[in-house]
Amino acid sequence: MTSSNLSMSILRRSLRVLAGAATLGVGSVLLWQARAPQDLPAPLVTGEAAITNAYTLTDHTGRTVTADSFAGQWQLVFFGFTHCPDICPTTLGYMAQVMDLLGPDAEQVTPIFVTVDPARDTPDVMAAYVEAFHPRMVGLSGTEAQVAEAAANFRVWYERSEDATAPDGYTVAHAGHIYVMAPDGGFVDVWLEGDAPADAFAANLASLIQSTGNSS
Amino acid sequence: MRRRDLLAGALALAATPAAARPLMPLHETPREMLSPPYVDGDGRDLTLADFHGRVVLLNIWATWCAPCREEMPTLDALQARLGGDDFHVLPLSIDRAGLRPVRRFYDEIGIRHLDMYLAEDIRAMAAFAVAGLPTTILIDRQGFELGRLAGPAEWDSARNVALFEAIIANERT
Repeated sequence: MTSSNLSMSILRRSLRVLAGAATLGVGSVLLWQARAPQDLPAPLVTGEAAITNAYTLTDHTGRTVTADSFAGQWQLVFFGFTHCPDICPTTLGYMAQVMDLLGPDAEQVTPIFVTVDPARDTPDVMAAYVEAFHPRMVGLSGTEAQVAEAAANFRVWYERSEDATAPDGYTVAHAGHIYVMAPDGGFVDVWLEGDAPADAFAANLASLIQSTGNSS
Repeated sequence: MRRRDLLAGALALAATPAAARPLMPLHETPREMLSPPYVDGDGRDLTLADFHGRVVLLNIWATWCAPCREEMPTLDALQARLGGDDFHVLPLSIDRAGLRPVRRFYDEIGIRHLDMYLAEDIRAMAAFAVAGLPTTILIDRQGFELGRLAGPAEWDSARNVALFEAIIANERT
């Protein structure tokens, strides 16, 4: 496939994503944390895919990384936190299943979990956590400001709210999208666990990987 | 007749909104279930069919799930109280890292009465239609699903024990 064909197919997908953005945006709040308070603001829908793969964070081994650290790899980026107060989402397990289903193609993919709760999710906590899901999974943490900047660049919405019944007295409501980023760092697509089985997601990624070949 | 009254009493209790933690809502009619294959702590291959004849409380959990860890001592206490020929608490871990972290966690919090079970996460989640952890499913002696709760609970509370005792009594033939 030529690169212009690929660009068109990415564009088509992106347009489809945009068309569904309003629905997704509202739905994500309802779908995600059962603990999300009633009076949360509606998520911001900008009407354009101004998603930028940019951040400076600390990985689960204590190394400082930027988005460029993963250049050359397809990236699955997910924002969440480890202290699920009530019902724990299984999204990281879903990402790990996708990695398993990719077989050898998984070598070209890095699953990345970014915490939106850096106060509790230190690199050590993240290390123990990502290890439970997949050996290739990267856990990213940082200062509150670094995490806020990363989330803003991905247009990820999250909000800390006080909740006396939650561990440490607060919880963090957030959207549950998985971002697919190309080896050049560009935004390709967004998936939600529950919208598609892991094998459909894996098949889609495999065709993206095949279409760009191994040289990218 | 008496059994039915007992069950009705327990269900009335279940409807009381006062408790901090929810009781399990029951289905109007029992539902058929699929079972993924799983193993126990000794590596024996099992399915739910191996527990037919007992009322089973199936708890789907993982060591990385904070509310799952929090409620586990109450499941241990429930097994101590009701576990036996009529009732069994079946904590089914979907840890991808296998039984090792499960064993470490059991040791860490001093689990004494629960057995260990492990299933492949994707198969367990699909078979039991699990959207989040913990998910706990009450199963009758014939292997039908009586009810389920998503989210943690205090499983050894007086009201929960009364509910399970009523189910056990109602189901005894």
